[in-house]
Amino acid sequence: MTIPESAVKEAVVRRPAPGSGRRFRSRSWEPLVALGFLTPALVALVVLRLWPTATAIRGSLGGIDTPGLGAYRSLFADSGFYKSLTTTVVFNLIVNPVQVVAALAIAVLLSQRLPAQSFWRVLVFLPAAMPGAISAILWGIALRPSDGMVNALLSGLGIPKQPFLTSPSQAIWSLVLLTSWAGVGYWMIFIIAGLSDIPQTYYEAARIDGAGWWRTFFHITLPLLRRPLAFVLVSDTAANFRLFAPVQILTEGGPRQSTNLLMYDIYRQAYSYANPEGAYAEVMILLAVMIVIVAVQFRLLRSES
Amino acid sequence: MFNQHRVAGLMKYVGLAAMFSIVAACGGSSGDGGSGDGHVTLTFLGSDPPATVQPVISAFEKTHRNTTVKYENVPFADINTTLSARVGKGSTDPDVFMADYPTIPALAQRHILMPLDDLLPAARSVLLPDGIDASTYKGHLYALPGRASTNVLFYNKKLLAAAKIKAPSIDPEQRLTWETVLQEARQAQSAGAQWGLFFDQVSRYYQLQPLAESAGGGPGLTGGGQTPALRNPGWQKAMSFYHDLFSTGVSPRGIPVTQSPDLFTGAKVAFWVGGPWWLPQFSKTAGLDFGVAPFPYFQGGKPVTPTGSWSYGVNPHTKHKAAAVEFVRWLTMDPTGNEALFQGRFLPPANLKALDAYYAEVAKVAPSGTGDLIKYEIGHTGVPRPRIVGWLQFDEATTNMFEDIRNGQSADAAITAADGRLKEMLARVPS
Repeated sequence: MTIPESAVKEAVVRRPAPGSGRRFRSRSWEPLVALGFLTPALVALVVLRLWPTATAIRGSLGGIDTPGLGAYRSLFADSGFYKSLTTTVVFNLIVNPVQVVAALAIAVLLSQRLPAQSFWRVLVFLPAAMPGAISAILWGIALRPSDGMVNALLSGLGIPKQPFLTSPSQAIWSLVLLTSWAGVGYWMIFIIAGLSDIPQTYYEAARIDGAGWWRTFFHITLPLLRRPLAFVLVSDTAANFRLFAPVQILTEGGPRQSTNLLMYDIYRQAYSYANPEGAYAEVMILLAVMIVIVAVQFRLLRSES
Repeated sequence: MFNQHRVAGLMKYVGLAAMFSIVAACGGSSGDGGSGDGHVTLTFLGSDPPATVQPVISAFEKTHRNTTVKYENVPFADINTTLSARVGKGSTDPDVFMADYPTIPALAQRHILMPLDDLLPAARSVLLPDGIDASTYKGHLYALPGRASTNVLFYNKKLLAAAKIKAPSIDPEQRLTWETVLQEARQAQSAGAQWGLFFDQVSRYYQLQPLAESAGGGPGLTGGGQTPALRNPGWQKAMSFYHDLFSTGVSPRGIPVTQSPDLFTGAKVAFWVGGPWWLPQFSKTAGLDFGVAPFPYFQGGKPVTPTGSWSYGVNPHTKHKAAAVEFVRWLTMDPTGNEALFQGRFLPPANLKALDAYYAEVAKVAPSGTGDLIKYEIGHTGVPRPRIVGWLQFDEATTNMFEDIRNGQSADAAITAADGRLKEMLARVPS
């Protein structure tokens, strides 16, 4: 939101009311007030983000049996860790664009003039309102190979029953399905907000110039959606890199470690194996990978202005 | 817009708001903790359904008027990680908690259990010896055993009759072999049963160790728990048997432990291996005509049943030591308390006096002879799980191995993979 220039000028130039008897210093109190309002957010940022990160850095370097970089060295010597890392990266390279594109497509669809538009939007968003653990359990039942709802549907369509979560090749994609069911609706809301921010004048101008639907979409809608899309992509990436609940509830990293995502491995290191240094080291590596990927995403979605 | 007075007032509010948010973020006050009038509130953590624990707590509070107990329920699979995260990091809460027998060495080593040596002499005379052994680590008593366990073979009479299979005898001398059970399971399926055989705690070490032990494979560990020993003919035989159950369609994939009993109560499976604690529920299930037989064994091998159960321990950081110890003592060494436990959830008690009351109850909900069968198995065929500090790692690695085999990986490949991972994991465990 931009503040009109005229209002800014007015605020700067205002004099104290006559008879107030006090003199204004130049606006040295403004930054202080701003700081005051920001304090709760800054405190939360430090306490919930920066301090735990510092703890993790220190913890990863300070084991009794693994001083210095020992924890990292053990990690890189563990074949299970490499598998977990590659599984996580591949998972994210696929699931994030898929979810963002799906959210975009549905947002665009539900921004057209449709009957009962609000109803459809609520319906698509509803899965996101369900707690993740519950939707994981329900999907676990729906994906049961012998008698689950999904295989019943597939059988009805003449498709053979699938193993889903019991197969090393299908388990991870079953998790993609599960998380996208809730995720797409959630991110759709942000893109709808971004779409409604685009002034109609641009579309009118495009129509007058005779542009078709696709041209309008690629040359007006998408460029003006850069900011919301960047936000959605980065937030979705962060959320998917930290995926944990469905793994713990449904697969426990299996079958054959095919769903052993980093977050689950970190949890196991910390609490099952009582190896906090290894867990901290793994957290730092996860953070590093996320930073690299998010930096690449920012680059790709950077506005040309 | 702004004048100095208003700004000063505003700053006061902002400062107060910031302070409140910091204080709120630092967490609220700890529990009331028994000040002044001597009333104590204990927190009790476990994996039993709350409905089964409330009657036990009520019975305790009736005879201990100055103590209140608050129960917190956590899924079985999460108990150890919860305890590691809370008690392991110094939290004073929970005061008392359930500890599965084989986890006790690991919990003791991580200082999550308070030694209870004062109670050891008295405990020996009233509790099952297997439970006392399991609750002891390096010569100290770290928890008090409250429960014992065993498994039996449940069968659906109607499904067996439809296949003209003779109902198995409840006499341990006439125990069926796994080979026979498999054959009869297939027959039952041909006659209409959806599934032939299934397990209560599918893909858990507790459930499958007896198969490997019966086939002569041992527990899967040697060297005081430091070295895996899965690559032997006994484990190979047991795991191939397990693999074939699922790959030939006798047992279903993808159904977790929590959904297993529904298969038996829904009459979807002919044979179901599980604990006697399901007897009350099965006997109340309308239309379920079931029988009980001894836990099978491999031909040529010895009969082995799963055993071991829950102990109750005290948090070393608890602020209410006396009350917590008294609660644990009442739950286990006091026959009234231990009886209240099995009235809540029907597991065999570890208290010798309460056991007699238990067998009397079994007679009300099970076919005749079941009580004697349970007594026999607990006394003669139970082989406990290994008690090692690396138990949690071992349990997890074997669970993953069982699930991989269940989902189609060959027994050989799964055993080799698990053996390799265990070598790495157990090497990092402090002895």
